[in-house]
Amino acid sequence: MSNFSVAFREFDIATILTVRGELDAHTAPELESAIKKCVDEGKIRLIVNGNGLDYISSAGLGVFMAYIEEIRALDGDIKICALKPKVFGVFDLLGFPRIYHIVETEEEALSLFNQGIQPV
Amino acid sequence: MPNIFSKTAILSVFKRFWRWLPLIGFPLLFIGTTVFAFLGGLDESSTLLQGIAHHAVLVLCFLCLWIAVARLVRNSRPAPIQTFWQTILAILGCSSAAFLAFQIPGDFIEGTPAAPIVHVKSALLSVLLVGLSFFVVHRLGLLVRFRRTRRSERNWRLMILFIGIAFLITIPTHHQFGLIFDSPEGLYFILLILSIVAAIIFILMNSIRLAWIVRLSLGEKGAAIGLGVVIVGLLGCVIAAVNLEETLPFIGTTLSPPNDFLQFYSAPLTYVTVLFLLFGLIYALTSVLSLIFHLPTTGDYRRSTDEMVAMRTLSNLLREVVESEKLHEWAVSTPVESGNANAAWLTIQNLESGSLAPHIVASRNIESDHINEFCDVTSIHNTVVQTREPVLIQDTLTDTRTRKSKSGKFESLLAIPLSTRTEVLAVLFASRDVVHAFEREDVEAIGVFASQATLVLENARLLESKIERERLANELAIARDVQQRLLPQTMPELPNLNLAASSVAAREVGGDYFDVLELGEGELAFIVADVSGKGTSAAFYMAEMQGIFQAVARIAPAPDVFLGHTNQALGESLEKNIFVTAVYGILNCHSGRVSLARAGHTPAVLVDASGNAKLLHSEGLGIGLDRGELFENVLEVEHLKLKPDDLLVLYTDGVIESRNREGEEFGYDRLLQTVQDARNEDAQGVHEAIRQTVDDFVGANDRYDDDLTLLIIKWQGNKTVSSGTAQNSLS
Repeated sequence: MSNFSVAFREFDIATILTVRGELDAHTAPELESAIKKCVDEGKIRLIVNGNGLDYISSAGLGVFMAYIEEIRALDGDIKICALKPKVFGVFDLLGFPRIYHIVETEEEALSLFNQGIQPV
Repeated sequence: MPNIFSKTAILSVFKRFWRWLPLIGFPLLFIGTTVFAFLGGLDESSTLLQGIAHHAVLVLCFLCLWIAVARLVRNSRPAPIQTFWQTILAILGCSSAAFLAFQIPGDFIEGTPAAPIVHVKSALLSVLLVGLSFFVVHRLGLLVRFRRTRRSERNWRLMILFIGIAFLITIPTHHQFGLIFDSPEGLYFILLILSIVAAIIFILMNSIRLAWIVRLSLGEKGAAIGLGVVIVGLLGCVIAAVNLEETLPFIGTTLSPPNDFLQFYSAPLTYVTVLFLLFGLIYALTSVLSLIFHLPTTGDYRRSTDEMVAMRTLSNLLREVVESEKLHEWAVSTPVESGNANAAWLTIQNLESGSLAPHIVASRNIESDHINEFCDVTSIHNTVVQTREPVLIQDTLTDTRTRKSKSGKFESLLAIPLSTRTEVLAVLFASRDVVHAFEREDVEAIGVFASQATLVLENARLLESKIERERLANELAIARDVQQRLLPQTMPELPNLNLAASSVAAREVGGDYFDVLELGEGELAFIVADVSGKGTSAAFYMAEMQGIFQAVARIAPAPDVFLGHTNQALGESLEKNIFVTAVYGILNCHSGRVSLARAGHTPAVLVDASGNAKLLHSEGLGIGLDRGELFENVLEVEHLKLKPDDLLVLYTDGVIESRNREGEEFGYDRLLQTVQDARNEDAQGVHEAIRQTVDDFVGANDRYDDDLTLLIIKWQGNKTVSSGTAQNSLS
């Protein structure tokens, strides 16, 4: 049924979550529990790779907001990379680029972590 | 005044007369004939005609008696035992009275006509015995016709008919005018014999109709046997006494035997009496024999009756709404009451209680705490649930899951699933106090209870969930009404301004919001907002949004100020993963000036009269994304000066993201095109065009995936002030 998946990958100092498919009200809890799992394990530098993300709804956007305060309070961050233009449009409309680092590639996101740059 | 000659009036008089006729007719006729006999009656010199007339009167007289007794008996329908009692009392009463009548002095003296007292004595004896025989026939007849069928009814009537025919045929042999057929012979004799033989055949046929016997309990059968024997004895004596040619020695008189007197009164009547009494005797005899044979089957019949009664209770339960406790109680008491089990209990696995172990929800003839002592309920329950087959333990000693109890009550055990097509609802346990107690019939009977109980339980459960569903649907309907009332019911009338709006929720309630508010001096505040997510939680935030708009827009109408306040107010109550997007603006209907800000919302569409369209894509974060100053710092207010007939279209992402069957989104381009095409319509026309286009795109039968809201504002230009300039610009 669900055409959504999250894959974990440890890379350098960050954990990369590769998301695929459609992130909507039904699949949002999957990503949410994935992020929660990372936070619980102390992995607070997260990169969400949206290369395979075809669609995101407002409920999907909410997932990024759910833990961001907690993560940032621990000096971590969620960075988003490799979004398809259409999906980026949704993030952009809501003003996400003002709050989150949304970059082209995983490498860029990693280097932002390495440089310790926080948005805002 | 009622017409006493009307058909119904005559009928009712006739009916009343008919009802009383036998009761009046019998004594009148009887006394009449007796007085006639007393005064001399018929003698050898009487003609045949006189003899026939006399007997016609007698026939009429006893026909009245027959009907009277039939009515008397029909009024009450006692149980078989009472029937027997009444018969015995009637025999004792009538024969005692007959015995007393027999003691009246007076006898036949050879060679002289009978004395008047002999006539009276004969009449009394006859009427007592005939009355008794009628009573016996009618009383026992009710037993014969118990559970009557067309055939049994026919046999019964034929028996009466043939006895009647025998009576009529014997009339001419009456010794008082024996001159005709003193010694019957030839065809006449054959007819007489045939009718008597037929009568006896039907007496025998009716005597084997004993359907009432199986219903009796063991005690009742014993009593019936005793009473039946008494009836046989008494009737035997009566028949013997009637037929004796010689006086019995113990009667102790030197009078002629009773038969002489009866024959003297009416020989045909005597035959009838004897035949009827013979029927009573044979019927009592077959009853006694049959009762004796049926004694051992009493228990079986009782049990199957109890099973039927239990079943009926169950069927009745089906028609009622009952709490599940009552149903459980009933399910365990049925096998016990029907006699298939000594104790029973019901186990249900209730996952809501958080335990996997089945619970004993009801028990009969055993304490719930006591059950686990001798039986591993969980193990047996699980086996039954898994296999969906009954578990039968014929000897609880030999099975590892059971132990014998000290009380010796649980020697064999049966566990039967209450299963629907898809799942096992519960397991019904039944135990007996002897080993190998459950025969195939018992297992089948309890199985039938189980399936009936399943039906009842399933029914109750469906009903319960249906009620719950209806309650929820009801609540949601109320919520929808409340939410609809939060939206403006009518659009304000302002000069130069033409407005249209609508909101459709994907579910009963939604998170979309639109509103307009007159601020005075031709100023109008308008908003379209969208709470992320759908359904109930979104609806609450939508309501909060409405409250904020109605309160804040009045005192702080400027878009940046208003949205800043809104972000602060909502930010505190919003869940972390929920945000609200909004487009808010104020418009001056005189000047056409608009200040507009977008908080993460889909950009408003602006289309002018010549078809130029653009999206108002100013900067702004969604409400709730940032709860600090960033929101206000980012927010950008767009100032516009509308031209006449400019269209401003505000909408939620439900419009853009509506998908067709191929999964394609409606998108911005289609929206812009639609508005451009419809730009010459008024606001309502544009609104309808968009809705229609989206509907056509999505497909007629599909509901919207998302809440869908539209607000169309058409500024028609300041016609009063600047109509000249407008014309100028046209020319």
